Amino acid sequence: MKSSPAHTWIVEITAALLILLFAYTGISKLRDQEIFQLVISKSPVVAPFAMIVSWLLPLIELSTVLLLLIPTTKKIGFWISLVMMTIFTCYIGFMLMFSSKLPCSCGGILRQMSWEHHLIFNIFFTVLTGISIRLYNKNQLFIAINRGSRKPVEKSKQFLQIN
Amino acid sequence: MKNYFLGIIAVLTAIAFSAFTPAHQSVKRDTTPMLWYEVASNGNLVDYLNPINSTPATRSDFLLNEETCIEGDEEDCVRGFDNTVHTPTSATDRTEDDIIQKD
Repeated sequence: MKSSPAHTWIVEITAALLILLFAYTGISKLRDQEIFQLVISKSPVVAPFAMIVSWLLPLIELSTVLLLLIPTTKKIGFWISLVMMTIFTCYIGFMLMFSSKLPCSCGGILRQMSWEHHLIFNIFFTVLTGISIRLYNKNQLFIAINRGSRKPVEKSKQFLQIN
Repeated sequence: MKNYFLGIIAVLTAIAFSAFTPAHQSVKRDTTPMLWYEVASNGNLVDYLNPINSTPATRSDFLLNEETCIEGDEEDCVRGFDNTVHTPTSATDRTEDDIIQKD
């Protein structure tokens, strides 16, 4: 896989989309915290931890926004995003398969989406985050190799395959 | 600064979206003491002998969210009564009750 400006753009746009998603849902959940707590208290999976989750989840989402925003912590932000999106996707899949009650605990306008749409939405973001982590690692490795060489990189060699 | 540009745009967009998304209906509260009973969607009390709270609770102990308690829905609601209910009458006939939350 080549490291190219296109890959850098994919990483940056994915980071921006994740920031948009987590900032919006985090703010919405905090704003409607009582309603969010009530809804997740009806979920068979997280009901025992409804109080903690209703505060912790939006705070984690907003912390992830900060991590994704700062270039030096972007990689950690991507990994936390991947873990969160995977958990959300598994949770939705589990609820769709095994639960008769489907309380929607999502924030803001995302509440309007059906659970099936949510599953597709989450799978899309999970895959996108996974791809971005891979591209980000490639870009970082490319920079590290060039820094290690202590020589200016020739234009023609900039897009060489590094694997 | 260039590295932060897209991220900052995303944060500002999220804040703008949040600002223009109407907040969920605010929780109404008062301090009227009531006894709370589970009520089926047809209006009948599920168990008139056993209020959910053995002692009168104030309405503020429950989240009032009438829009989630839809008539004809399969799920039960919780209603507050001023006094202990002694007969299994339909809860919809009573005037002092109040739909309070989906069970």
